[in-house]
This record gives sequence, C-alpha cells and structure tokens, in this order.
Amino acid sequence: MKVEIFTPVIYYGSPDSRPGWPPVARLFESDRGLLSISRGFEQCEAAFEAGFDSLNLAEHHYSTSQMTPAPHLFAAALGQRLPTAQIGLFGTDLPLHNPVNVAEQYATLDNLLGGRLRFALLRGTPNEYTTYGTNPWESRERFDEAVKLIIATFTEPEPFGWEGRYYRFRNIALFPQPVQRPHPRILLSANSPASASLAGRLRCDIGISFADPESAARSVAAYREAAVEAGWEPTADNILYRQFGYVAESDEQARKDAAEMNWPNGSGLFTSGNPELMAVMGTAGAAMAGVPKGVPLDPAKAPAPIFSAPFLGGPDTVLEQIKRVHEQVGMGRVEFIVTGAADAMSHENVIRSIKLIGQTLIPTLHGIE
Amino acid sequence: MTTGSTSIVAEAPGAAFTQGSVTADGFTVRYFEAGTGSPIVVLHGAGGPRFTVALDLLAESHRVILIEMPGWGDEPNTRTETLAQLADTVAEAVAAIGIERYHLLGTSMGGATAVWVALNHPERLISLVLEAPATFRVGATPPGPGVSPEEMVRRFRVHPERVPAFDAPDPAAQAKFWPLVEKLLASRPEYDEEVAALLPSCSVRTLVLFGDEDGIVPAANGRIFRRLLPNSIYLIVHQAAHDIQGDRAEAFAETVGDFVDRGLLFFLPETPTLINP
Repeated sequence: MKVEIFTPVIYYGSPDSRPGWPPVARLFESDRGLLSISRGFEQCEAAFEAGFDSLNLAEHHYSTSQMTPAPHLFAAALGQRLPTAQIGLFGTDLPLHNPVNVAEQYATLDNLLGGRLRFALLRGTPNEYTTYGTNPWESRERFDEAVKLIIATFTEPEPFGWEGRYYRFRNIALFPQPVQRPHPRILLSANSPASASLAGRLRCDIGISFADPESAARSVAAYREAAVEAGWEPTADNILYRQFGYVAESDEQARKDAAEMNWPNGSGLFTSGNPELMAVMGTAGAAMAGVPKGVPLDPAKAPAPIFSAPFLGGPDTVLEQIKRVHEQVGMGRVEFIVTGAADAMSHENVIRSIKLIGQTLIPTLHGIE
Repeated sequence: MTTGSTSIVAEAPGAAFTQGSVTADGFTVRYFEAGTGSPIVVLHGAGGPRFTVALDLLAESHRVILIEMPGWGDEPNTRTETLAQLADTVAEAVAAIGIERYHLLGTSMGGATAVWVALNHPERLISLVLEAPATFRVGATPPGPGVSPEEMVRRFRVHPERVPAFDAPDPAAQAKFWPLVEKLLASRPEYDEEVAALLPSCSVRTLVLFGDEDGIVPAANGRIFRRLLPNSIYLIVHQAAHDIQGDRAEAFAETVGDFVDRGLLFFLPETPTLINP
C-alpha cells in the first residue's frame, strides 16, 4: 500500500485572528503568511524524508485552512525543492474554471515536475460556488462535460473544437503537451456510486474521502462494475482513501493532542457565524447533490455529515484502523491529512506525527498488497 | 404527450420546404427548398433525404436546398459508378437549379460525395461542411441490413427520442438503394488513399463535425481531414452519435450557420458580454 499526505498549507494566524468563512483580508498578516508558506514546505519536506509516496495539495478558495487557491504554484515550487518527489494535485474545482486552461496548467506543471504529477478533477465544496458565482444546479452536468473535454484536449493530436452543452471552444491546440502522454493519471472522486461509475467509464483513478468503510466499499464496487463494462480492470493502485490521521507515541498522547485544539475540525471548515450564509451553503450543497432548484430544504432530511472516525492513536492502533478500512475498501493508497483544519493542530505536533508515521507505519504499510 | 389533453402539436420538420425538380446528367433530380439568403446545398446520407429541425433552423436565415441524389428517388440508378461521378451529377443539378456558388453540407455518405464536389468543382463552393463524413472509416461499423434495430439506434443516436425520432430504415427502401451505397462507398477501403492524396491541394474552407459517440464512423476520422486539408476545422459535437442533426439540432444549426456566415471569423464570438451599461 502506498502512503500519501495531503498538506492544506494552513494559514497560521496570530492567536487573536478570527477564523470563519469568508476570511477577512484586513486580518491577514504578511509575516504570518510567509511563515505559513514556509511551514507548508516544511511539512511536505518532512513527509518526503519520512518516506511518504506522494505529497498532495488541493485547491480551495477564501480559506484560512488553505493558502492554495492556486495550488499549481505551490506544486511547482515544491517540485523544485524536492526534485524526486511525486506530487498529487487533488484537485481542481472544475466547474469554477475554463477546462482548456485547466489542461494547459496541468500540461505545464507536468513539464515543470518532469512527469512526477498526478491530478484530480473535482466538483468543489458548496461554499466554493459562491467564489466566482458558479451555478451549483449545473454542477454535475458541467463537471461531466468538462472532464471529457479535458481528456479530449489531452488526446486529440490535431487542433480541434468542442461544441458541448456547457462549453464551446472552436480552436483548441494544447501546447506544451505533458511529459506523461497522453496525460498524467487523473483521479475522480468516488464519494457517490454515480461519480464512481463515471470514473470507471473514463478509466480514471478514484479517491474516496472520509467515508465509512461500508459506503466506500459500495463506491468501489460501482467503480469496478463500470470499469469492466468499459473493458478494463482497476487494481488497488487505482483506489485512494483519504482520511484525517494523527499518530502520536501512544493512544493517550494522541487523544490529548487532538483534544487540545479540537483536531481534526478545529473551529470548523468553511463555517460562518451568519446563519443566512450557512443556509446558502446548504442550498448549494443540496444543488450539487441533485436537489432541483426551488425545492424547500428540510433540515431534518439533510444527509448526515460524511466524516467517519479519523485515524487517531499510537502506531499500532492506527495501523489496525487502516487495516480495517482496507479489508472492506481494498485501497492501494492511503492518504493522511495530519494537520486537520486551520487551527486544529500545532505545526510542531504535525511535524512530529509525520516523522513518527514514517518510522513506525510506512514500512509496514508498504508491505501490504 | 398525455391522451385526452389539449396540446399544440408542433409541425413536423420540413413543413416549410417546397419541392422542385431539374434534369441533370440524364437524371431527373428532385430537390426540396426553404428559406432565403445565402444558399446551403445539402447532400443526404445513405438512408436518403431527411427533414430535420436543424435544417428548419438553418432555413430561418439561409436558403436551404436538399438534393435527392439519383438512386434515392423513384428512378433507379445503375449508371453511377463512383462518388466522383455522383458529385459531378450533383454539381450539374445545382447549376441547373440556377445557383452559381453555394455552401455545401454533406452528411455521412453525402459528406463523402461533397468531398468530391470540393475536389472537382472547388470554384462552385463558398465553403464545405461535412457532418460525420464517410470518406475515412477507420475502425468503423457500416450500417445496413444484418444489424439489429436496437443496436442501430445506439450507433446513430444518443437521443433517439428527439425530433425527428430515429427509425431504423424500412428494409424495402433499404434494399432499393443499398446496392448503390455498396458500390459507391462500402466497397471502398476504410482509408481512401486517393482522396488523402488530393486533399492537401484543396483550399476550400471546410468544417468537419463528428459526434463524440458516433457508432458508425468513429469521430477520430475527423482528425484526418484536419491534418490533410489546409483550410479546415475539426469540431467534436458532444453528446451526439452519427446523426448529429438529430441529436443536437440547435447546436448543429448554430455552429453550421455561424461557420457558413462568418467562416474562420467564427473563432471570434460576436455575442456581447457586457452585463449592464
């Protein structure tokens, strides 16, 4: 099993700075910003030293939990600092963007990284539909078409145009082409059986985040079924499972460290003190899930949050937790988020945990099929 | 449509088209015409001429002329031996109708015919539009007798419910013109070396359209045109199979109409993006 790490690149603000969404620009301190970037690099470098197989980043907007609304930049810089590291960009919030430009950015990044890149195409989080004003009711359809357009952009050998339902481009000629031809491995979310099926049909990898093993196993089954229908068979290596994970010297120490700052969620990700704004997020989330516009939302019927219990404990405990998920899900890649959300864990604890995972867990996990 | 309710039934496609005929190359050639403006001559596929919503839309701002090629009407055609000859007949027919220069739209087998009009009568063409042309059929599965109706539908249409609803061709009608299709096209190699050698010297402005789910002629064949024709565009129509007009009428009409009106200027959108003054 491969072991990967997702580094959000947290903004380590001064103690009196208020988290919450959207963040207040007035409260951003430049020296804290530079400190946060350097800590982000430090965490990635520690993970590389510790033997993690891939250093991963994500795209998120207007967030103290992520200094990466433009993750390709951080990825390119990271790739220069660590010239042999594998890097994963998981992933682009595709409905927010121009799909052809997304392909251009990844082609360029793959060249900058000498082919050490994998990336994901995702639909974004509900709050992100307010980032640029993107229609959340069209999220799934726009996304499906954009993924196919991106794959076409990477695979068409002659200049071509695309007359889609949501996207019209009459003159596409991707240059440079990526190092990895026709394109780096693409990962799609498999957090629902529908998205898992799409990934199977399009011969992509899948990523499942935070789901309980039973739901995750259902997604994997849908993925495999769709893949077989499309004429190929995924291996464990095509399946990634992402979870918050914090390892300390003992179970007790781990629980103590986590309780200190409410790891992993901290004071909440993308949460606002304004209930009307939170209601908008609920509407966007429902729209993304396929609830038609205008259907009143019954809070009692809202789906339960999909965060299952994180990996937390001493090395043996966490190993067992991972194995239990692996029994049902069969992933070939496990991806840790050690930091948690913005103010959930100190940088020092994160570094210590990364080193400990490297010493005590990675060799064992590498030995599991 | 629910029974027993009052409903406005839309006119079937082609209601605005009027019929005419000319003599050309010893054949009586029937044609159907609607609209005014820049002329678009349309060459049908192996199944014969079809009225579509797409052509109705194009006829709102263009003069659209559907040619019924000899062999697909009442007169049998045992004389035409090659697509090039069929193309010559078509060119004569259009001249007999009285149109000097025109845009030429060819569908599937009609596209393969239109290519020969462009090669041998380039001075007649303002531009050329090829809808899933059958010239290059690398990796293709030919339509025809022996394929089940369900399978046929899937290869032609992502959306068989859209107007006009897709019907597998009537076997009796198919038997009439299939030998001609076989002789002119199906017996030709899947990569036409002769045409491939001639395309690089054809400067006719050309738009090639393929549906990304075309189950008759794989869309990748569009690349060949882009590679060989010096003044061409290859455009993938998303969520369309072989019958692009049937699957995505509005997208087809808008794209073809814009290309016909503006040529390569259609790379520059004209629609304003100013939200408010």
